[in-house]
Amino acid sequence: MASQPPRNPEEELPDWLKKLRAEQEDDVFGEQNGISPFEGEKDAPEAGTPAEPEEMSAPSEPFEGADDEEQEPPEWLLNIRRRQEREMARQRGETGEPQGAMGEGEESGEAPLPDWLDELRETDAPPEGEETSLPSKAFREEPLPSMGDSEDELPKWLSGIKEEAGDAEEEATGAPHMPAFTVGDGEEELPFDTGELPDWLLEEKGEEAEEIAPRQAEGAAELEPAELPDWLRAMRPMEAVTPAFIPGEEREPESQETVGPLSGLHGVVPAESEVGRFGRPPLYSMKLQATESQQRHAALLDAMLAEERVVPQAVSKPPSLRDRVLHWLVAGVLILALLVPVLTRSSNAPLPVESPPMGIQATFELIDNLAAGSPVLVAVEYQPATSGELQAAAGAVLDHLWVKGAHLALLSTQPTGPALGERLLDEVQTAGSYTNLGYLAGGSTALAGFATAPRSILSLAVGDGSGLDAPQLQSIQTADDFAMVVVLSDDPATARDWVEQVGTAMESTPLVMVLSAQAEPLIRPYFQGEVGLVKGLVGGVLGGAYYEGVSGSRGLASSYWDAFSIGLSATALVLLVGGILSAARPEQDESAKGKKGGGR
Amino acid sequence: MEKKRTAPISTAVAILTGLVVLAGYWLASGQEGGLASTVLSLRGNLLNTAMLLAAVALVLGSINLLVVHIGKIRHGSKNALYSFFLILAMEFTFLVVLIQGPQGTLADWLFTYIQLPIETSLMAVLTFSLVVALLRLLRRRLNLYTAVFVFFALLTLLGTAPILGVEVPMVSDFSRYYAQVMASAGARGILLGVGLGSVATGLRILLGADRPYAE
Repeated sequence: MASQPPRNPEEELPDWLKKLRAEQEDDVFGEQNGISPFEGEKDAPEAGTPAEPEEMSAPSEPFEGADDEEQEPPEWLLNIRRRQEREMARQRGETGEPQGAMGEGEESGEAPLPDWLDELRETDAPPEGEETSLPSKAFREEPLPSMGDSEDELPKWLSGIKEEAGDAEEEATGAPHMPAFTVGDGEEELPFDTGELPDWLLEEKGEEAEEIAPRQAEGAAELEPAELPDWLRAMRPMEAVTPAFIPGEEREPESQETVGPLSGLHGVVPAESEVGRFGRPPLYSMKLQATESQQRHAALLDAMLAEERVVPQAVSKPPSLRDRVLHWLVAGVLILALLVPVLTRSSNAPLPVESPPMGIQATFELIDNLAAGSPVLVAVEYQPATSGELQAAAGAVLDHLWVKGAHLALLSTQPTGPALGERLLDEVQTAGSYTNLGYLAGGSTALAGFATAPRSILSLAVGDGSGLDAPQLQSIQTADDFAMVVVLSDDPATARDWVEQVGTAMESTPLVMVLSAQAEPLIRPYFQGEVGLVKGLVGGVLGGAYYEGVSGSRGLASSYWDAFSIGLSATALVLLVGGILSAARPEQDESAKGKKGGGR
Repeated sequence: MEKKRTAPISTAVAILTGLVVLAGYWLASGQEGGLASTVLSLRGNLLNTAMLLAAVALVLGSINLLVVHIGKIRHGSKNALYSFFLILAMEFTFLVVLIQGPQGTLADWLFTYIQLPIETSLMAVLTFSLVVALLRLLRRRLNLYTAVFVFFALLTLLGTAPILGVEVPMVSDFSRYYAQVMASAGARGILLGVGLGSVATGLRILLGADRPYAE
């Protein structure tokens, strides 16, 4: 290898590489003008051919380092080289090779080394006169035995391959074939410095080349450009078919790491510049990817929800013949049981007289102790539907009050109360004086006000507005001023309002309740308690009958008593017979049928 | 935003009103001009206002009923004929009471011969319905609970009045015990629950924890 003066790296580039660079630059400009980087790929030659574009661009890389003359090899690379040199020196020392051989090689010729390597050699060179065991310079400059200086020295098989590869490249790219690495006038050179290889490796490569050369020379003529199948070409890595960088995209100039474990490396991941780089966010399809099973389940759920929105219509099932017979039978028995006593005006059933309940006895005693002309407040708090029962229960009580000469003041928190009170007093046998105070709106709130300030509240009540101006009621300033308060109610809640709002506000005035049989159990605790907010209690037709029996009068309860007794007995008889028949022939529950059906 | 702004005011008004009304249960009417007299006077005014508002609510309810049925007639609803008769009866009764007063002759006649028989008849029909329902229950779901229910129903019926005119002492005595002890015990439990619930609800409103008026 002859010693050559240093040359400009650009001048050392072969023509084909210069042309390729020019084309790449054109591509870059084309991409910047809106041309897709992949368009060139469509026109790329078939993969597998020796003239792959990426392969063609590869030789330019060694020269990139040469362009940067100030660039120094990284520290780690230098360490590797030094270690290899020490290893080589040690091997030579063992084999007894004279160290002066290196000097011969140095004199005989020197391969053109980049400036940075020369500088490195100068800096690493030991001081003059100092012996060193590192044959770095001489070793690197030792010519390779298997690498000729010219193409004439190449084996025939290698020359044949090169010629074929060059022809294929020309066919694929249209560019003339150029060797990948050339030095000087078309002389090919390995892409690495031969001085970097140890001797043992060079010897081994030489021997291997000698062994392989004859065999390859035989088949070189028969070699054909490999053609990759489509499936294999599709599996190539993207780096093999795409350019190293996307033209048109701003690219950071390659920088060299100066610190840290990556010191000296080029093209490492530029952390800061990548962070600041923004790109178009990936587009994700908004279409739901659902399998057939999922879609089927979703449709089922949708159908179920749609059914929930449909209001089920009540299915009016016509009664069966058996039900019709049952209905008519029950109606006939009960109507007969009630009509016969009413039509015959019978009074066969004895009135209950013995051992009356405590509430009835207490009520009788309270009324019996009233002074003549005492003002008594009567609250009519029941509905027209239960007027029959309440009239029978309260008739005897009101009759007793009038017998004792009390002045009644009717009041109601129900809109129909005043009319019901008028009707009730019409049914009472004994005539007496009364004042209808009318309807009091507001429920329990109005009762609370009435208990403390009845005049103020009643000025707003529906009526003539002068209820408490009657001579018998002029002394009334609070509810406690009444001699007695009698509440007629069929509603436990309303009765409780009277107990809580009015009964608690009265200290000396007794509160008496005349209730329906339905409401009596819930108010009874107020009568049974030690405090005794309710002083007297009469419940239902039975209570009225008891009161009539105790007072010795004959009122509505007595007239109803036979029909009431026989009607209850007939009802009990129907239930008893029906229960026995049902126990003998029970009918399967329809809801149970539905559950069984749904469970399948 | 408007609700948030007025919420503290309405809460303060509700709490103050509740405390004044509650104080009226403990304060006795004292001298004129005293604190107790002032609080009681304020309480009476508040109750009068509540009464008036309740009466206005009743009128508004009647107007709402009228508007709903007018709408049914206008839209040709299926039961528009019933709505028509309801409006007719409502307007007629309103005019009668407005002219004659609630105790007028025609108003009393309407109540005595129309409203009272209709409501009483519906209650009488309920008797047949209950008996038939109990029979169907026996046929379709005859179990222990049904048997217990029917047993006590029969006991109440037979113990309330003499059986076919003949009083049976044991049955009436057991029925009285059942009504005055067992039923009363259950009623006391219900009343205690109602009382505790009322106290808790009242305290929550007085403390501002519950604000149904703010909704």
